[in-house]
Amino acid sequence: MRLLFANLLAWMTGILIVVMVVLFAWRQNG
Amino acid sequence: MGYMARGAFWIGVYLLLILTPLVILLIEPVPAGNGFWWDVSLGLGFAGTAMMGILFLQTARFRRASAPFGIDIIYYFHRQVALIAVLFILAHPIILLILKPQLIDLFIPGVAPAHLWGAVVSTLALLALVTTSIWRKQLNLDYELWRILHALLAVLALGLAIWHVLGVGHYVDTSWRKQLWGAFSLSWLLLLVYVRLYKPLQQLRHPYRVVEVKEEKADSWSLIIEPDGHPGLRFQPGQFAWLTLGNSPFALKEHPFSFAGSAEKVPALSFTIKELGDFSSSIKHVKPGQIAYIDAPYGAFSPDRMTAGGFVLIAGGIGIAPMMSILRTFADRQEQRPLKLLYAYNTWERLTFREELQALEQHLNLEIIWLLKDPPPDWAGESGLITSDLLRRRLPLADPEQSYLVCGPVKMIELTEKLLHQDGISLARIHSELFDMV
Repeated sequence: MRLLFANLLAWMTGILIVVMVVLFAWRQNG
Repeated sequence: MGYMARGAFWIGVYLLLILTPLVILLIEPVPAGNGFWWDVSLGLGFAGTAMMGILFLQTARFRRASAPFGIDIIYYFHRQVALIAVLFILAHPIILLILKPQLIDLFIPGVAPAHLWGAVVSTLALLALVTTSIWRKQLNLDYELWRILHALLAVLALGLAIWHVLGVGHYVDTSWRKQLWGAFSLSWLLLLVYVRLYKPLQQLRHPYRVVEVKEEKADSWSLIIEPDGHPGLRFQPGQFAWLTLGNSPFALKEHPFSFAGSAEKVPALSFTIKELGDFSSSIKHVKPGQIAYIDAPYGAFSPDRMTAGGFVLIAGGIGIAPMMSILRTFADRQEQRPLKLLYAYNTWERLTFREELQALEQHLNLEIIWLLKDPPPDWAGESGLITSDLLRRRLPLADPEQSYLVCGPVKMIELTEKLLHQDGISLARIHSELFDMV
C-alpha cells in the first residue's frame, strides 16, 4: 500500500506542478 | 495524534514546501510574458530546482516526519520525485532550444555567461545522479563510493542550479522573490549543516562497541554491539539502523541494516549481514572492541504498530533479518497469537537461521513454510517462486484478523503485494520493508 501511495503522491505532485506552471504561463500571456 | 493524522500533516507540509515557489510566482505581479511555451519552460526550471531542494529534506532522516511512513518508503518516494524533477529540468532547455534554436550560440566559449555553463554542469550532474543510482550495481560502483558521489553531485547540481536562477534574474528581481530564493538557499545550507555536522556529532557522543561477531549460514555474519558509556536506545522489532563501523560518523560510510535481535534484549543490538559488497564482506574481519556508531531507530515495519489477531511474515533472502527480530522478540514476550512465516530462499543447505527457526517453531504458535528455488532431489516442501496458488494453499487468506509483513527485494515485494491484494487482502493489512533500493 505504501508503494502505491508513494507513487500516487509523487505523480500527483508532478501533475500539480505542471498545472501550476501552465496556469502561470497562461496568465503571463493570456 | 495517530500515525494517519501525523502522516497527513507531513504530506501537507511537503506539498506546501514544494508548491510555494510556484504559488508566489502566480500571485505576484510579474513582467509581461515571452510567449506561452517560453514561460512554461521557465516555470518548469523553477519548479525542478525547488523540487531538488526538497529532495535533500527527504533524505535528512527527520525521525518525527518519517515515523508515520517508514523511512524506506521516503527513500523510494525520493527516487520517484527525483525522476520527475529531472524530467522538468531537462524539459526547460529543450523547450527553449525548440523555440529559439539560435540560443545554442550562447554556448560558444567566452560568449555565454558563467551561470549558463553552471546550468549545463548542473544538468549533467543530475543525469550522473540518476544513472549511478538506478544502475549502481551494473556499473560496479561500490556503495560507499556511490554515497559520497551522490552527496557531492547533489550539492553541485542544486548549488549550480540556484546560481543559474539568480544569474538569469528573471522573475527573481522583486524583493519578495529575492527573499524567497534567499530563504530557500539558506534553509538548504542549514540542512546540510544538520545532516553532515550535527547528526554525526550526536553519534560521536554516543559510541557503541562490538562485543561479538558470529558466523551464520550462507556467508552471513551476526554482529552484536553494546553502548559504550550511555544507556543505548530502544527499538520496535522490524525496525532498522544506519551502522558505521570503525570509521568516523563524518566519513559517510554508514550502511542500513535491520535489527535482527530481540527488542527485549536491549541495550545489546544485533545485526545479521550477508556478504554482498565490500562492506558486508569485511564484517568477518571485525574484532570485538571495535568502535561503532548508530543512527536509529527507523522504519514503520513492525507488528508493534499494528492491531492484528495474527501475523503472516513473508521473507525473501536476507529479508529474514527483520523477521528474526520480530520472532525473537515474540519469543521473549511469550506471544500467543498465531504466526506464519513464508521464507523464500535458494537452497536448503545454505538457509540462514534454519536451526533457530525450527526451534522457534516449537516455542511459538508458529508455522514455517520453506520455499526453495533450488530444492534438493528428495524435497517434499514448496519450491519455485511465490505464486497465487501457493498463497491460497498455505496462508490464512480468509481470516480478516491477519496482518501481512513482507520483506525482501523490491520486485518480490511488489509481486507479493499484488498477489495478496488480488486474493482480497486489503492493502491496509499488507506491510512491507524495502531492501536493496540502490
